[in-house]
Amino acid sequence: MIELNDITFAYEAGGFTLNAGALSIAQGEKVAVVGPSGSGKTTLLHLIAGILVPTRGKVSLDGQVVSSLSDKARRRLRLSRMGLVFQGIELVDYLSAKENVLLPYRLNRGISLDDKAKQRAEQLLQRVGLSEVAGRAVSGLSQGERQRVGICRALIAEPGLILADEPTASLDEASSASAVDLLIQLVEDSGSTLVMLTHDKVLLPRFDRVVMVDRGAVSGGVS
Amino acid sequence: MRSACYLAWGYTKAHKGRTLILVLALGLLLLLPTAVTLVIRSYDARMGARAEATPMIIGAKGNRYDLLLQALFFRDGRTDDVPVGLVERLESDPAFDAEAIPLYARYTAEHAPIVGTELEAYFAFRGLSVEQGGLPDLMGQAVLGRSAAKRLGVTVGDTLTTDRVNLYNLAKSMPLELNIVGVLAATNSADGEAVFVDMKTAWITAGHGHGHDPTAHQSEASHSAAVTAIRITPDNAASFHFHGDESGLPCSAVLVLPETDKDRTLITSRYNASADYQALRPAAVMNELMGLVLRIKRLFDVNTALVGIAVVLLIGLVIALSMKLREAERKTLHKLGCGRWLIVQTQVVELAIVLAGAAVIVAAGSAAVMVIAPMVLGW
Repeated sequence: MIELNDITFAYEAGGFTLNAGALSIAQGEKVAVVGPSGSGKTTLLHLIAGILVPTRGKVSLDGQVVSSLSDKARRRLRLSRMGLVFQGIELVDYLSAKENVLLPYRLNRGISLDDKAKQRAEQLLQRVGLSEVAGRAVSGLSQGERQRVGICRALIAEPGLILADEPTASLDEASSASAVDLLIQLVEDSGSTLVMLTHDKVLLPRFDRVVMVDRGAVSGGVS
Repeated sequence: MRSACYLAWGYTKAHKGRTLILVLALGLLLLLPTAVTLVIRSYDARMGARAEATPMIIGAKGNRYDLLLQALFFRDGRTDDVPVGLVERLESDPAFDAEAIPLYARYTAEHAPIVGTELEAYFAFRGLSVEQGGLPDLMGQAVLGRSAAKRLGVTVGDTLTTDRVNLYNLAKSMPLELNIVGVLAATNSADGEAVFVDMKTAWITAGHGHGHDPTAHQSEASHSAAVTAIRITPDNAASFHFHGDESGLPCSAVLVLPETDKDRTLITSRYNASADYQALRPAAVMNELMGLVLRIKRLFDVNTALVGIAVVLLIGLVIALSMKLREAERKTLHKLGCGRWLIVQTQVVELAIVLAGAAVIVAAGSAAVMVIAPMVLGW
């Protein structure tokens, strides 16, 4: 379970402040975070992921206060318990699709890259229709293919929490719907919690709850 | 570090061309000074060892380096000849005890130096042994160094013709056909590249002696246009002779082996005081010569250091630009949960891979240079 208690976050450069009262997201819940550009959605996601630390208040994950952990401990937590999908489809360009999917195993000392993991990577890539390009460098893939690789990477280590930052932002309508379908389907299969930022209102019915962020204010959520 | 190694290897594999260019640039830059240093050291050691093993050289007054290279390495420099009678004078002088070995190395056969000497004495002094065949018992016979025999593709029973000195001067002596009667055991010295003959054969090569036998290819009376080389056979050998006093015939240098240090001092002072001769201590002259070489190498080293600094700065720039280009990658990895230093570590590993590649080039190149250098430099 994710819990945010009376959060305030202000960038050092000033100008923007995010405030969230109490927000909790249950295990297995699919939550969409919506709001206009610049409203603070990504900041909220980064606070949950421990990439940013709140100026005031607490962020907890399954009872563990993430915001009071050291940078190293937060990084370890991200590697071990979270899967992240980014807006800019951030992959390591010089690695192949399969190598990108398996990257969490390479970066996380706590899990070992065994045949089972490799098999799972192949299965995931097959499921998203990329088994043909698994060995190809991701720099040569289309945006849609890259995003699907990003989704596979987020899911490979079977994390309890998937955080997706507008994963459909750079995709066309058809690719966008298919990517979100895929993400939700895979999340449902794994029983993970999903927090996804989106602009696309068409996608909202697919989620259990919608959290609104507007000019730095986070409202509790609409079922 | 495991992650850094994985990413570095992945990056290197994906950018093979770029990596190869860096490896080659660094490798060649490091190879040049390394190879030069190795060659000079090896050259110094070989030349130094031969000079150390030679107690004294006497030759005509003139450039001492030329005389040294002539006597030790059979390089025909601009030294004048001295009469071979000097050998007798040295050995019979009551003021000191010394053995003297004449050397006459002015001509070549297929570019191998022909060394006229007292073969038994010279071979004993240098510790050379005949591996195939034996020593000459007739004029016109030769014993080849192992490397020379290998290079020329000849062996005992074959012949070797001396190089014509002046193609357009018919008055000069004709080439001499040498019968190979022996091949020396391998030596790691200039002796391996030489063609050894007795003094008389060397003088005939130089045109100081000739034969009258009508069956010979050349007679005193004429240089027939059809005759291309002098051939000495058991039938005509007796007819070959030298006019005038044999003690006045030339040698290019005399190796002197004094009995004691006192003898050496006496010989040195006497011959250095003369107007016609100079006596050298090879080790000392070789040190001077290598000092000159090393001074030139120091200039080369400064140049290499400056180029090296420029390359290091350029590599620094490449790394800085690469870090900037890979900022997005660094951010992605950080978001995924990696330390901020992972990319730096990755680049350090990438640099280590490039350096390792360059080291392989340096090692392989140096080994190749050390194999090729003796052939090119004629050690």
